[in-house]
Formats: sequence, structure tokens, C-alpha cells
Amino acid sequence: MNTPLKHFRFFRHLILLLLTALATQSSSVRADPREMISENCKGYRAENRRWVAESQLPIPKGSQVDASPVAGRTDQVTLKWEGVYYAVPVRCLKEGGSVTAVAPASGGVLPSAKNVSAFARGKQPALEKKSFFRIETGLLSWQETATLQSPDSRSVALRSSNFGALLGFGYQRVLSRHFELHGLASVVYGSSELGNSTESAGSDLQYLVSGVTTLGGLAEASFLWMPTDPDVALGVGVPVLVRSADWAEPSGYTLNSRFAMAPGAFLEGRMTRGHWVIFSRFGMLSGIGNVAWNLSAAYQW
Amino acid sequence: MKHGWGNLGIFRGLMLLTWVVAGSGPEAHAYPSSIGLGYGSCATCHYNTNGNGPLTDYGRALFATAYAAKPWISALGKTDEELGAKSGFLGSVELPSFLRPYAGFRGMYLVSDLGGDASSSRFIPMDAHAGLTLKFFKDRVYLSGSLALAPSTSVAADGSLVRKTVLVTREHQFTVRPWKFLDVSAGFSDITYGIRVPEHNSWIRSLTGLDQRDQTHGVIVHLSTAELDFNVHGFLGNLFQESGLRQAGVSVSGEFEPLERIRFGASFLTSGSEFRNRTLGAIHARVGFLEGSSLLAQFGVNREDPIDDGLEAYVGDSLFLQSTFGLARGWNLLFTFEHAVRDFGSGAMLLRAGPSLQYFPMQRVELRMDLTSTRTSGTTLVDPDILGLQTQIHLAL
Repeated sequence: MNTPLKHFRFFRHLILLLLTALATQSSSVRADPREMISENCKGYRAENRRWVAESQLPIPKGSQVDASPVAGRTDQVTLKWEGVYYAVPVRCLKEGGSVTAVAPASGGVLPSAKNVSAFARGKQPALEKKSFFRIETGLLSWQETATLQSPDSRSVALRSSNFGALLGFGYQRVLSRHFELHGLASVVYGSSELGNSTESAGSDLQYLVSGVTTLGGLAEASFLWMPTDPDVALGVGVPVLVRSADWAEPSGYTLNSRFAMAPGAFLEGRMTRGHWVIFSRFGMLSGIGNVAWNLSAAYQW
Repeated sequence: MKHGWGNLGIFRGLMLLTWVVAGSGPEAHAYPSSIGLGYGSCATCHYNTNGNGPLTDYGRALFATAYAAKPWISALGKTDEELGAKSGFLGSVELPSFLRPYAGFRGMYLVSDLGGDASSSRFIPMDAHAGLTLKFFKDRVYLSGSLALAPSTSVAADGSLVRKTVLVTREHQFTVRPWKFLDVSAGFSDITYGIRVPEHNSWIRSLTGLDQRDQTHGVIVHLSTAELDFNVHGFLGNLFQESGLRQAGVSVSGEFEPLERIRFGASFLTSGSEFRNRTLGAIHARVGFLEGSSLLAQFGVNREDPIDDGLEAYVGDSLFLQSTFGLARGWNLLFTFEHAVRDFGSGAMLLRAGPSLQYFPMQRVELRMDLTSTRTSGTTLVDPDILGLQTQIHLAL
């Protein structure tokens, strides 16, 4: 029977193996944390959030270096030497040991700064590209208030619930390794219901419609913070919804909010996988108490 | 409110204090969203191959070294290696390899109708359990079971609600693993169906009879490879219940991973008792992003056939979307969106959404705060969304 200690050693090895697999993503490169550097190696040096080409790495031939796989790449690794990060082809590492490039290393292809930055999170990621555009679509839900006024000037507060979809165009500007700005302009198509709430259920003015089409646009500017990784961010947004709802107006009565502009505030999260982005937003539109939320998927380039 | 747990003010204080003084470290996660860390299969960390229940030794070590933040208390370990070595039930004290005890507690401080006229708050001790897993023959045979104290609500003769604490079991299973790709379990467990989210009040669980008290006796055959999990679960219902109430049937579920950290699944369930027949079908997806972030999605259609003259069958649906943002090790921000229609014929639709903050300050401890906004549409009144705030503490010893 195995002793618990042996169990733990086994699990420890398993953890290291799995963590390496995680770091490599779909990469088929296995790399030991410390490896030997070969001679005549060209690469990139991480400097001030950019990768600068190096015709000759300043790492002495045969040195022991920390080598780590680059997420999603089979042909590149990052090296750490005297506190500086270098991105180099896998072939720079001496063969043998536990480092093997299962897929053929593409000679001479230097790392994409974006991929290396994803790996070197929290350290010296390169921000190769600062601007991104996207097409975004998602679900949107919000509530509003409206007022129905009778011919004799009596009025009752109504509430509307809206649920629909948005389709829009977005822009992302990376300000630094930790901050970014977003803009979104979209069209909104939804279905709404409008009626008395429990609060006004006793009123002698009663109104209820449902399944009414709502058309409009949602624009938003947001400021997001990337705590550790460029692919995950959260922050706040300021949306403005402009919409028109074709709520029936009884003869002689007035509905004050068939057309409305509703500013608000969102707590917002973004996560990115390659070209695909997920946005989650939760907050309020058209005043406190009117909850709004959105879940969107986007394709960015 | 009086209940059987004595003065729980200390728990409230602990939760508030922890939220106030909490620190942070680098990256981590839990539950089905752990696909964001590359763990697609539940069997990696749980003895129950479909998740939930006691953690394996590996699951404990992973909880300590990847999910939870590095603890403030240095005695618990400074390096991940030390944290893993101390992740056992008794810390670093070695237990015989066949013996794996576990225990846990989950409590919630609930504020309902936040800011509304009917606002109220109370602490709910949701679960306190202790159990044991025995494993033999090079981990090819498992025996696992637990007992739990759980809240129960009943209606007294005068119509008032009576809340009390009852002793229940939520799991006892005998599992044989003849080959690495096959597990056969017999006993009492959750039904295998869809994504097993920890939010038992989510409509994909509460409207489908898959709630936290809906375990059943049965046999599960689980096939797994690196890219595939497949389950057939034949069940007889809860044998602790009266025979007429037992919902017996079969569920079939599977999940396929065509690309790393992307899993698609489908589930089907049919069951019946003297009171109702139930048919469920669902599709789901789990997508992992870098750094433990993930997206979970499940859409299902539910049909209930009450076996009673005058009652008609009804069909509804439920949609669950949850995005998890791994902010730092031990810290997650979640956004959950839900939609449900219990009966298409009624026209009433439920919507719920809200953000959650999840924090694992150290292995064995989870703190979570959920803000939810719930809406009912399609009725005769259009009411404001009902806001709720839930603060949970979860101890997994």
C-alpha cells in the first residue's frame, strides 16, 4: 500500500504537470523551468512593454536559464535572464532534457508580442496592438417608469419591463497594461410591457400592454481595469439608451414616455479568447431602481 | 429569529470583518467554472465523478495551490508546496491512505427585497455535514457517505411556518472503477443532468426537480476519456420517502471537448411517480478563458405531467448564463443571467441577473456575496425588480 507521503509526491508531480499543460494551452511543447541556451540565438527582449529585436542574446552560451512555454504556441518560449524577459524560438533551447518540440519548430519565426504578453502576464507584457474594433451582439434587459395622464389631469405612475437584443459596433483603446477605454454604439430591438405596479394597483387609472415593440439605440463609454491578465478586465461604464416604444395611448390620455433617453451606469466585465470577447454588464438605466443588464458576445480584430 | 444554531452573530461578524479586511494574491477558481483553469472533468478533483461531494487528495492540493489565495497565516504554509502538503483533513498529519474524512458548513445571510417595503433579513445555516470516504484496491473501489444538518420548513396546523433543523444524508455511494475510463456507482446521489452549478436556487435546478434536496437512489455508469464524459443514471427515487413520492427514471448526459477548454454537452431525463411524470432535455456549453475565467451556458426544456384529473401537462424552459472573471488568485467576479418560463401557457416569464463576488482567502474557506435582481413578466402587474443580497460563508474541511 502506498503511504500518504508517496501519494502527495505523486500529486505534486501531477500538479506540476497539469500547471505546465495549462501554461502551454494547446502547445505541444514541454519545457522544464530551467534549460540550456544554445548559441547564435536571435530573439526579442522585453523593454518598457515592447519587444525589441536582439540580433544576439546577451545570454552566455550554455547558460542555465528559466524557460517557459508561450500560451498557444509550439515554437516559442520566453526566457528570464538577470531579470529581463526574452522571447525566442524553441530551437534556442538545447535539445534533450525534458524540452522537446513535438511539432516542428518554425525556424526564424519570432514570437507574436500579443501571445507572449498573454504568457508573461503581470511581468513585462508587450502591447503590440493598442486599438481593436469589434462587432457585438447580445441580450439586454431594463426597466423604466412612465406616467399616464387622464383627460382630467389625473395621473398614475406606470412601470415598463423590456427585454431584447442589441447589435452594434465597438472600439477598444488600450491605455496601459492595466487600463483600457471602450466605446459601443448599437441598435436595440426588444419587447416591452407597461402597466400598473403593485404600488399603483389601487388606482382608478389602470393600464396594461405587453409584447410591444421597442426600438432604439444604446451607446456606452466604459473604463476597464485589467488586474492581472490583458484578457480579463472589469470596470464601469456610462450607457445612454435612446428608445421609442409604441405603447398604445388611450383616446384623450397622454403617455409621457413613448420616446425617452435614459442615461445610466454599469458595472462591467470583459473576457477575451483570441478574437472572441464576452461582455457582462449590470447596473441601472433611467434612474435608481431601474435595473438593467446585458450579456454580449463580440468578435474583435 | 430563533433556530437551533444558537447565537450566530459571530458568523455575521466574521463575514463582515473578512470582507472588510480581505487581502488578495494572484489567480484561482472553483466549480464547473474551473474549466477556466483547464479542469474540464469533475473527476479530477472529486470522488464523485460528476462533481460535488468530497475532494480527492489532488482536489484538496489544487484548492490550496491554485483556487485559494495564499493565506495570511504563514503557519498554513508559505509556498504552494507547503500549502499542498498541509491540505489534508488534518493538515500535514498523515492519515492511512484508505481513510479520507471530510466535513463542511455553508451558511447564508440573506437580505430579501433590498430597499423595498417588505425588506427582511435572516441568517440561514444551509448545511453542516461530516462524512467519510474509504478507498481500497489502489483506489479502484470507493465507499463514501455523509450526514448533514439542514434547515427544514413545514406548515403548522395553524398555517404558520415552522423552521427546524433536521438530520439528512445527501450522499452515500459505493463506486467501482475497474478501468480508468469506467466508473460504476450505486447509492444515493444527485441526478446526473446538465451543468451541476453550486447555485441550487438557479432555475435550471429548482424548476427541474434537481434541487439540493432532490438526491435519488440509483446506479450511475460513467465513461470518461480526455475529451469525453458520458453518464447513464438509472434511479429509483429517494428511498427515504414514501413510495408514492419516489420519482423513478433514467437520465443520460454527455459532454464533449472538441477544443481545449471548450466543452459542449447534452442531457435527457425522464422520470415518473404516482403524482407526476417529468421529461427534461438540455444542451450546455462550458468555455474556459485564460486565467481561470469562463462562461457557462445551459438551455433546457421541461415538461411536467401531473397525474391527477383536472390538471394539465405544462411545458417550460430555463436558461442559465454565467460568466466568471478570474481577477486574482482567490478572487472571482461572476455575472449570472437567468431566464425561465414555468408554463408557456401562462405567459409568465422569470428573469434574474446579478453580479457576485467570490473569495477564497485560504483553502477550506469560501466567502461569497451575490446581488440578484429578479423580475416576473407577463402577469397583470408590472412590478420593480426585486433586489436580494446574499452573503455566504462556506467551510470545506
